[in-house]
Amino acid sequence: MESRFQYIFLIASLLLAPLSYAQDEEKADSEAVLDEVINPDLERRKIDEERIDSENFEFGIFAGVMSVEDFGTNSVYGFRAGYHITEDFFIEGVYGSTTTTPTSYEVLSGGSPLLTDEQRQYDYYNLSLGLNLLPGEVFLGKYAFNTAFYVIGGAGNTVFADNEYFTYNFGGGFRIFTTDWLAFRVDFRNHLFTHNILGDDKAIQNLETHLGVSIYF
Amino acid sequence: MKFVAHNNHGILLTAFFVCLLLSLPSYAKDKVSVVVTDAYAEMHTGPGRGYPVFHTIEKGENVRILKQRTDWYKVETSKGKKGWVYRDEFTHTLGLHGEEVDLSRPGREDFDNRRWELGVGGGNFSGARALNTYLGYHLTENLGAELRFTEAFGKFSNSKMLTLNAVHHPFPNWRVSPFFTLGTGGILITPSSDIVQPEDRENSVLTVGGGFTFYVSRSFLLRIEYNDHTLVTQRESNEEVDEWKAGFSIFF
Repeated sequence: MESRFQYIFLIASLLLAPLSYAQDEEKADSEAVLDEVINPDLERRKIDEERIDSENFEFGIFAGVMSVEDFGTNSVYGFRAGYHITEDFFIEGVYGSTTTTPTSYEVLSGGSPLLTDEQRQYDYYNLSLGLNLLPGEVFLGKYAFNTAFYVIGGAGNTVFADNEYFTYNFGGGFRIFTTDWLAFRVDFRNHLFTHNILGDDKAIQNLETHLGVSIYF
Repeated sequence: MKFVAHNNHGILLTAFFVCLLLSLPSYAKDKVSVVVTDAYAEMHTGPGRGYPVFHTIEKGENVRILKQRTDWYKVETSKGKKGWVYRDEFTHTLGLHGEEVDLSRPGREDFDNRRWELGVGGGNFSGARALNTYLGYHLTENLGAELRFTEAFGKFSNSKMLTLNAVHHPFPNWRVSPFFTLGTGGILITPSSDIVQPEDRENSVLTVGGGFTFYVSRSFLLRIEYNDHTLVTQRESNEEVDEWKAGFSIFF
């Protein structure tokens, strides 16, 4: 702090040098005098974060496969938006969509289908909190890329078979940055909810894995 | 109001690109140049303490700050070396002309002056599990506006509720600060499809509530809240719904 005052004082005295001959005796006087004399003449701009471009938001798209228990494994597409709170924590919202296929029973029995085509559409969205682990670098030839693993978990909604289900999700993934603002991601996620489409309540686990690309802005 | 995925994709994507275009001017922000006044500052290859240190900046060296991610700054030295430096290494930094540089982490002062607030939480919506998110904007120290979205998953029906609230903080500078809310909006109630004759219904909602925010540190808040929602129906009496919720928020 003291050195800062000295610094300010020195700059100010340089600028004010031609005027300050008369004030030499008062120099020993305290900071209060300094303030009065210097501040009107030195228009100091304060530098703060607002002048620095921040890149804490993330947006990405992804594609992969999702297994919906009893209803087959199919391709899934979606997008995500995230905010990086600290270097360790981030929050992320994801929207994904897949089309399920008939259960084995429907196929074998040849009877009437359980769901209409529209009801087979499976959409989900959720909000999750993620934790970055094991940051590091991978090497490809002479290039080094920053990477990080993460674990993530949260809750959200699943729209399936004309109904909506409160859904927990948890999982993990791997992120590799090709530049500061472009990252590729592999994500593994389990979605858990309880439905009664087949009669009784059934708690099901739906595994998803996808590849994605994200930009930071 | 029913969520139909594919049609929404296009709209959302368009909205996203519009946002991107709007945010483009921020790339044109002037680069801030500073002088390192600590003994030295370590440069990491990435924005995190786990990434290796590959260079140190000496005291008195000028660096340009290119951008920021969480608590890390990407800087470029006069010799063209680029790397990431932790915020705390810049606490005593000065501008090229001796300007004060305030790169301290968000703290109490920023909490008092916060403008935007984004929160998520879970709770109990009249016996049903509920998820909620809100976006708040502080108009003055005491007064703010909040847009809230709650989704409840009950045994017999699911609800989606969107409300706009006025929020009053009588003691905004307390670490544990009480607040009161008053708002209005709408609710869409969808009975479970396994109940006979499911029919969606939409009601207006008047809501009143209160709670506490706890300032944790940096840009984090914890928040607990109670709301009493009055569903305006066409029957003789209106419906009352209690909602308890807890969650966390970030401000920026």
